[in-house]
Amino acid sequence: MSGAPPLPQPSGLRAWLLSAKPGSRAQARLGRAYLSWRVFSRNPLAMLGLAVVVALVVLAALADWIAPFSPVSGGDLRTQRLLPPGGPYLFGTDDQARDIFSRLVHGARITLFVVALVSIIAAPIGLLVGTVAGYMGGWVDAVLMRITDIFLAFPRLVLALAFVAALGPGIENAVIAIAITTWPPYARIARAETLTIRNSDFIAAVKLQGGSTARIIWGHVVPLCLSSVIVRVTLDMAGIILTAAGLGFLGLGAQPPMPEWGAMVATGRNYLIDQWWVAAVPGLAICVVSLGFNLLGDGLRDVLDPKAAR
Amino acid sequence: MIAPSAPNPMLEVSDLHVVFGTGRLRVDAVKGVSFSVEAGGAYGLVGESGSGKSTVLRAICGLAPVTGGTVRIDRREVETPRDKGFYRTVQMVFQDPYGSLHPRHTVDQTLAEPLAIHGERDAEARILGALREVGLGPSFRFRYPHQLSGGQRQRVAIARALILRPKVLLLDEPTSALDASVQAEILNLLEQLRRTFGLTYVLVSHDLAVVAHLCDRLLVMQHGEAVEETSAAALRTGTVASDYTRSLVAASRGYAREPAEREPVLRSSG
Amino acid sequence: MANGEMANGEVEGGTAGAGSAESIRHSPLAIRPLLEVEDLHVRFHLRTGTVHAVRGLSFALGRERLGIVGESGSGKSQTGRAILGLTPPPGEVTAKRLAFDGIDLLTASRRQLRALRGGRMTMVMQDPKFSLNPVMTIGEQIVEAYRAHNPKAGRAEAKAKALAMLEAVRMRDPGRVFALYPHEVSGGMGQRAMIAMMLVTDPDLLIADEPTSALDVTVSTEVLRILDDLVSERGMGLILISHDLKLVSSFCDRVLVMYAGRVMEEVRAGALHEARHPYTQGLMRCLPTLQGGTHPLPTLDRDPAWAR
Repeated sequence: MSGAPPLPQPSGLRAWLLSAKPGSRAQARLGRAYLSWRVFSRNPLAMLGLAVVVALVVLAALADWIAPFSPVSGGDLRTQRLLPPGGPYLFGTDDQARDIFSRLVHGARITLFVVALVSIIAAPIGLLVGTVAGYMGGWVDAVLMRITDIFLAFPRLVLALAFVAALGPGIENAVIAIAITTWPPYARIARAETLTIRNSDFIAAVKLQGGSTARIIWGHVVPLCLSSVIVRVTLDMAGIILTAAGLGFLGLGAQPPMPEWGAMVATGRNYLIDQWWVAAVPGLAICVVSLGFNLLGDGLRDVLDPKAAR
Repeated sequence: MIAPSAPNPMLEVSDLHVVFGTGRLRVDAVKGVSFSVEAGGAYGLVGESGSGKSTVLRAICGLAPVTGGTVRIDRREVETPRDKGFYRTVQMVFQDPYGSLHPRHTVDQTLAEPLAIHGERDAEARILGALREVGLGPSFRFRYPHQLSGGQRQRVAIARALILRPKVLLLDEPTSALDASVQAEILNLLEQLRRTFGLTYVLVSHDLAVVAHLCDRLLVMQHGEAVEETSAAALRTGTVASDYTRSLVAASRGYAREPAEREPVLRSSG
Repeated sequence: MANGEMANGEVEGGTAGAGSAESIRHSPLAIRPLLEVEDLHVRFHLRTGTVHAVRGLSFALGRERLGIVGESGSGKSQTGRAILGLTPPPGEVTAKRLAFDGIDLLTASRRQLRALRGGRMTMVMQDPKFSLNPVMTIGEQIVEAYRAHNPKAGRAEAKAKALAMLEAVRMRDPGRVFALYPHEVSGGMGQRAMIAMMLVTDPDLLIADEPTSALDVTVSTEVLRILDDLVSERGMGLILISHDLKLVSSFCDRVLVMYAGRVMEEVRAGALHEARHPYTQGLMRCLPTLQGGTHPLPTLDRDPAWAR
């Protein structure tokens, strides 16, 4: 508390966060997080990306209150079909006389559901396969990486198509199909990272304390690989959204009348020339959200992965 | 040349061979090295890079394969893989204090890990105690490695090695990455800890002066083989047997300009 | 040019008869110093504040061996880099005077600087692994370095020069080493190749930043001896930057001891025991010796006044 250095002292909370002598585990963690946040928040594009993602989450959470109309049942088919933007319909109506804005807001839920579920399934699988392969080496590495290679050999959408065709169309199956096709790159990243870590002295030190292989991988290797995988997952979000939309567009993802953005673009395709808003608005939403995740991922990389930073 | 076995040996290495790879890639890193260290003693391994001195340490603690020969701790031959009891007896301090601490773990986590692995109770008190032993206050407990200087990191590494109360400490160039003044502090700390806990040291270094300061006896190694076993006292009086040791002694004195001074060293047959 | 040719001719005899170099080494300094440094400051403006790495350093260098000693963070390496204009980006170099052979380095054009750097003044770094291009043979790199500063030289001439230089750094088989890639040679050979590359342009000033700390003791003695002989034969100025007080004082003519960006004192080589500054004395005393010093070793108490 005493002995003020020549630098102007930051105020209470910041001083506590930036303290070089943290007094508890929580303070040390929070201080570290705060430093990362300071780097991140200095990047305006990353902040824009974060704003888009936060907006998506808010939309999805409050969809029932934000959307003025029902997303599935339309109005009068004779008078309210394919109305242009304006009036009570912010983005116009579609061929079923449904409010496009309401469908868009509810569609945010589906998009978020897909994105969250895919990352929850794919990231841990990739991380586990990659770290185990990288740390164990030998035949374990060979077997796991060949499996990874097999999955990598097919284009993502084609493989997802095959899975959905086998499992049957529907949003859950689409998620599973996408997750199965997304994990291999994460495994590769995690393995590459593990290879650089596994011969370091701090891993040798845990071995010398008698730490088991599982303990070393889980407690010491995974935390170091986590950040680059998180960055990669965030950057992949755009691709995942596009794949989900692609499946929806082909009628293999969300089934009507679910307001899935890709399926919305697909229905709008028929009216592309005269009623452009039917396809353009959900298309634009896909575009903005993909871009948001990409910017966020770039910003996260600068914070979490100093090696890749300029 | 083979060391007479000490009366009360804590560590005995006899005819140790370490081979990496096979066929064309085969490297004989250590070729038949023997030495023994009595309990509470300090033994030095000296040599240049590639002499196999670090590999001997790594073979003792199981980080490198023992291809031939035996390693005995407290008169019992070690098993491969080493059991948990072994790790409670033998611990190691690494050369690079920047690489031997997990960059995302606080000092607290680093010190808690060995206690958790061995199911020790009373972690709180033991962590604070370990920090005190190496001369760090409780204010260091929740810092990350990047918030510490090189010397402080090495102190944390020593605290981690000592927290399980081992009997043997293997020191792999513990001060070569540090500034001279910090090196002095760490050497003093190591000396004091050895006295306090009756530890047995094996110190690997390329610096003859450091080894002579800390150890009574030492083994000079070259190309994976033992050149000679000698004592710090013999180094002091210059009564060493081999030319190689003599050239190491000469080099450690600094740069000798006059050719006349170095020629006899290289030519002498001892 | 003539100097270079002569040096090559001498090299073979040079190893045996180092005595001929003796006379040059003790020749009086030139009237104008080779390098003048007055009130040199190196500052790094970072987000977290300004780091003042070198603070008001002044010295003059003739054709002699000057040692700069200090612990990590003393600013010794930044001094060497600042002289060559190699201070990394956020750094700012200011000085009252920074002149090489009368040429003001602070106002010199980029072109002029480029011609000087690598031509008349060069640097040998700590680790040859990072300073040599991994995809070019050692010989090619030396040829390249020579031709960059002697554009008129033909390939054959440059190659002859490179081979002679490799011989000058006592490579046993210069022809074979010429065709090797950096990863195919040992650390000591790499460092010697590096020295050959740096000296092929016959520089007047060589800055060696920890040239031997990545090498084994016996190899480093060899490398130092080569440097020593080359410096004497060619009458170069040499700045040896190192953390090793013992080595620097036994190799150089005089030694600057740096702490926290300042020179604590200047010591005549071989007269370390006469050092008066408590920092220098402390640095010397805290080294363990073969003779068996005190137990425990005296530690260094840093006086905050030194850094002021």
